[in-house]
Amino acid sequence: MKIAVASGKGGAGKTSIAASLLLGRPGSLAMDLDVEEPNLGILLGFDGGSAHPVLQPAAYIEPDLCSACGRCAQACEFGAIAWFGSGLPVINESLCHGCGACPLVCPTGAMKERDREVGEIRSGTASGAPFIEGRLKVGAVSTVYVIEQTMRAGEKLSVRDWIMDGPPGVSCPAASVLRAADVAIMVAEPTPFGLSDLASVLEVASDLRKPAAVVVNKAGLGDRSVEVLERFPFTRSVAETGALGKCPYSTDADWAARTDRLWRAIERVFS
Amino acid sequence: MKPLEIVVVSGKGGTGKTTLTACFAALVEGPLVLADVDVDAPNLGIILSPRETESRPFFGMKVAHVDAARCSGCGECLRFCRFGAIEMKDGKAVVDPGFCEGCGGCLLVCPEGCISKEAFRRGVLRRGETEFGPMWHARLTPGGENSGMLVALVRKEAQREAKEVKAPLILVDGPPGVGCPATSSLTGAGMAVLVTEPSRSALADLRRVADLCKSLSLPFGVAINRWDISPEVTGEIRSACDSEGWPLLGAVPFDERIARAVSDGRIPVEEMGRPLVELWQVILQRGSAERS
Repeated sequence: MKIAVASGKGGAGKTSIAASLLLGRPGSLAMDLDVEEPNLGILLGFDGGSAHPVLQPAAYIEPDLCSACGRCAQACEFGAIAWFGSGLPVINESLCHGCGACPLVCPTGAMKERDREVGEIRSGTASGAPFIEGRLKVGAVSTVYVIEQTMRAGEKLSVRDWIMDGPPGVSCPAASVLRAADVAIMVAEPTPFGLSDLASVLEVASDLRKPAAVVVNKAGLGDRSVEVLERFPFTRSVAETGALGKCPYSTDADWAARTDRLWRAIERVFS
Repeated sequence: MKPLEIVVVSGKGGTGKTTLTACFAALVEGPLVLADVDVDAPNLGIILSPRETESRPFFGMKVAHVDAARCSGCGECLRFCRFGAIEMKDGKAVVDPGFCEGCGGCLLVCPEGCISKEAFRRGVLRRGETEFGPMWHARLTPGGENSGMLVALVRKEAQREAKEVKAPLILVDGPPGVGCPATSSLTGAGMAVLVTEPSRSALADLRRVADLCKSLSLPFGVAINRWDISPEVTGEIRSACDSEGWPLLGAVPFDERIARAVSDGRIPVEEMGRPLVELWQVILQRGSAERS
């Protein structure tokens, strides 16, 4: 089973819950897909493993072949190619989405693509279990691309069960993780902010027809039309453990017991 | 004079961007325009309760749409699409507008010419009045694309209004992360306040968002929230500020009354007390220094 751990709001405790689930029942692949801010490796003590670059195509022009017709600039929907009526078009690589449309319209074959690095994938073991994470290069905006490539690399590790630590929010990065999951665990905190963002992320899961259930972190939440799997209390000791980059599963007996109950609840609800 | 636009970001979510932005708003003297550009999870309105004066739909980029009646099911579009936005259902191509980036490549390869582009409603843009000034905010339709575009739109409206009403200051509650929405919220701003908390995760994320500010040549400073949760990690953040040359703007302690105030929908200015006032003064001094 591929379990996505999600939350609309950032800081609700996705990574703590994902790390706890992994420590509570070793054997799943730990996958950090919060590629803008990957932190699962910190809580699981990932040693860095080996890294591979994530390459995405970007357009470039072979000046000798270019007939300066301007069709590439016309075709580009992202404003990444500027053409001033004559001469060579100018490409702004940071705006290029690597969609491949401009080579299609170029009549002379001058418009080509080359790889640029937009992030990296690191894999290895953490806490004795298989671990993989995607990491967006700062300054790149290819969040979804890095997520998808990380999942693709994860497939090759041939581990049946995944725990995916997802990105916050409700837009394309979060949706791409939920789309790949069998089920979603939504981590929510019982604050007005947490509740509002939980409603949004549940909407995404429901649009994608993914079974979802809620874990309440930091205390008790009013009843909604989804099942609450477990409540993780907010205590100073848990916050202090997290501050030091440790997973509370290893340091807090109550937290560990709740994680074990959460596993049983997941099996019951999604069986 | 161009208004000073201060954007509050964090890298890691949940460090207290929205709570601090609301507190800063309460401390501002004189005209102010507010913006919440965390369009995925907009929360500033929950604490500032704006009275809505305007609401309009946001249409993102046009995306591909297949006319199923004319689709032959050849799969050329599916093979071309690099965004995984097309799948075949019952022998016909179907576009998922949540993943289509609107590049138009599929229109070019479709032999039947049965793909066109359509604008979808991707969210809503709103303006409201708060007790501290007008506030622009937006909500992206869950599952949607184009969050960066919507972020830019909210900022543009806030900037326009600030100029019109001659407000010298715009306060922006930013998104988490370092990707498209964060980049869009910081590009061309006057100054960024990087809100962090004493955890190794938050410090790792702080490094990334500081790098992003540097790559955009944007002046920034660091504010540590809940610093006393771990004086040890707060020490690590302070050392990082020293060694990296990041200006440390101030630090606010943890207090359960702060969390309770926010849960009750109140701005915890009193609960945060003196450290908050000092933090805001340092931010303003830095901001004005950057401008002159």
